[in-house]
Amino acid sequence: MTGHASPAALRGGRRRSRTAIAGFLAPFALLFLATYLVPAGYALYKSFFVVERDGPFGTPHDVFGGLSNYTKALGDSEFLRGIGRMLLFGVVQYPLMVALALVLALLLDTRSARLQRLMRLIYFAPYAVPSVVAALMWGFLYSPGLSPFTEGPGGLGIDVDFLGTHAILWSIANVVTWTYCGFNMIVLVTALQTIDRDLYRAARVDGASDWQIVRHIKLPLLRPALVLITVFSIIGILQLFTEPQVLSTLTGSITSDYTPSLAAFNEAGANNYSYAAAISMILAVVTAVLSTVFMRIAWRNR
Amino acid sequence: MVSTPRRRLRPLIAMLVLSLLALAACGGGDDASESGSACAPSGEKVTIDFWSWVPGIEHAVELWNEQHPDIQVNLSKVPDGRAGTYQNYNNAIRAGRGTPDLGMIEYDRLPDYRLQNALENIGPCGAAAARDQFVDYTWPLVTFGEQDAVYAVPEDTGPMVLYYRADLFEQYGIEVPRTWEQFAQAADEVAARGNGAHLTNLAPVDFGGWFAALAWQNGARWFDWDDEGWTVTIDDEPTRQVADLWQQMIDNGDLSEVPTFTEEWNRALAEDQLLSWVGAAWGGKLIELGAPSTEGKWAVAPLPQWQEGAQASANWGGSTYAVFEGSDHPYEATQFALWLNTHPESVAILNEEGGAYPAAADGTRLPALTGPQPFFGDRDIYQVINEAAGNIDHDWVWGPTMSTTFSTLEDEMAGVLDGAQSFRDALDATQRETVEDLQAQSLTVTER
Repeated sequence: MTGHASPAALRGGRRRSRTAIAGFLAPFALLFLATYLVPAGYALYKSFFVVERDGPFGTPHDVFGGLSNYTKALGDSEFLRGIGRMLLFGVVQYPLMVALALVLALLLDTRSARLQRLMRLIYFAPYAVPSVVAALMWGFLYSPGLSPFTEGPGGLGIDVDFLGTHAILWSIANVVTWTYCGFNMIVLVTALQTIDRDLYRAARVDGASDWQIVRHIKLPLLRPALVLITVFSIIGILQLFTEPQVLSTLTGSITSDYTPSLAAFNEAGANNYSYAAAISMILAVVTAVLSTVFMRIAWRNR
Repeated sequence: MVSTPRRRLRPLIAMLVLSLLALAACGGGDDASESGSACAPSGEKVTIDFWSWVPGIEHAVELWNEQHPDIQVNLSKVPDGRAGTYQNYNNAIRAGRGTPDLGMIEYDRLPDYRLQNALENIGPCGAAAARDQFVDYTWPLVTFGEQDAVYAVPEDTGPMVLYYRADLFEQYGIEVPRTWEQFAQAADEVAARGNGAHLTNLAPVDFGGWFAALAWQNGARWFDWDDEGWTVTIDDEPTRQVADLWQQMIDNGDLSEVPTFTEEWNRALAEDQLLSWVGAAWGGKLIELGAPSTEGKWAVAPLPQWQEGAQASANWGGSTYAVFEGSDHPYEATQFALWLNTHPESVAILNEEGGAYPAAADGTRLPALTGPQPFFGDRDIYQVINEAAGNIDHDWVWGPTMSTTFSTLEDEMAGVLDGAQSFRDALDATQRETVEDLQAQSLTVTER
């Protein structure tokens, strides 16, 4: 095709390209619809229903109940405490994990680093351990009577109960940090590697120290990667499930509604599907709001 | 790109609405067709889908399939009920398809499924006639006291006894407690030694069914129902009496907080840190597997009593097999379930490989369950267990939402052991939450 295309031809081309776009999008859109939007829509729909029976022992069936599941959830102090617990968890665990990941990534990115590939693999390895296995392993390391850690301090007269009510949240935080720190580090290392090395050379010519390069070149350029892992973490932390679920078989400190996801899971297990759906919806909204607010702030301050 | 967020959202919203409409169209119209009460053999070759989580049950199923070419059983080994199978039943019941012909359900969960109208009445399929083949107290639990109705075939039971270390009791100079008062006293004496050993342990993990059994022993009645609806009395006087006793032991620091059935528990048993366990008939095998080094040192006594000289016991755990509503072969499924749980060879397999203490009256005469037991210092422990089975109150009724009741009780117990609240507070909270859950299931509750 040469020369100027007529408007009609242009329109035709646009139509064709639209069909092409639709064709390329269809596989994703269909799967997204079938495995995400439909179940989510169904859960939303279900969350407005309550159970009713014909007579005291009749067959149960669902009837429209308006917002009653939502008012019940928002009035359930244990559920709200679960959300609060996850926020506290995030405020403490997330900065520690990211700081650690950042330090490791920056160390691996220095010129003097040795065995970079090996060290990267070692730091990343815990992420390759399925989180159920990780939680089980840490569960044994925490169990008084089995743990090598509790015996040591115990001998010194310090009584640590990693699975007790007060410590358990931080014991979970430790497992989560152990698992995900390496993953976050890899994201940061990858971002660091995309930085043009010329920038460092230029900075050195200008007399910048290593620390100044970190402070004024690496950190600002890591910003998008940091935003990304923060959003992942906000979502992951609010939906914390596997670790507390596995550890709950070892200790009574993790109640059935210890985290919002556990609460939804256990309510569904108790056949309260609609209530579980309402809990999931609230959790989704809280997660979406927090992630959005965070991204707004992050991008505005750019 | 020049598109406002709203315009970008529009297709999403459209998709969502469409999916909702599609779902709404799928819903409704699941009227269960009432099958006739007659339950006849189909007269042709049938295959029964069967779900169970008993270890080794495949050997019993193989035996049946060899002997019954016309009724073939297709076994699915499923996860433990609370680990997923109950949820799978619930989902299948909701969906109106996917339940097996025959499935394993623990006694305390049966009312839940009965109230979902998910269980076939197999009384006419031969189950009603088999009443005499099962231990007495199991029957009200599978019939719910309904005339001519049977909703499940009992598999195993868990009469409660006191497992204790005969050697350590002697070493510590403790008499086997005959009353709960003596038990608490002994707990205090052991703890007073200050060597880290305890008479027994108490932890919120797996606590609900155990505590219910202790209340049952004292004559408590947590649930009842009549034509008006349900009565819930989890905080009744007998239950409070049990709670107060354990509260006293908690307050005195007399109990270990090691969770039962964990590696930690096994180790505490093996290292002589726990002198006894208030457990069920099926628990002896668990001690044997968990702490094999303690062989020969264990003995079994009847449960301590609330009144000197009484002989009450209670049941903890145990399972049944129920035919699900909608099964095409309720007769054949029932015949298999009856064979599975009463035929001597099958019962022997379930006992040996699955550790089940049989609910079949004759099952207690299995060679494995009579005479001296090597792990228990050649003591005849099953004689004690058998007697306990004969002393269990028949009037106990499980509620329809035991999953909530147990998880609430277990959640609340964490606070009790922490000293944040009293055991009675935990009972109050459990009562409250249970009533709320029944009401959420649209069941009528009359609180006393």
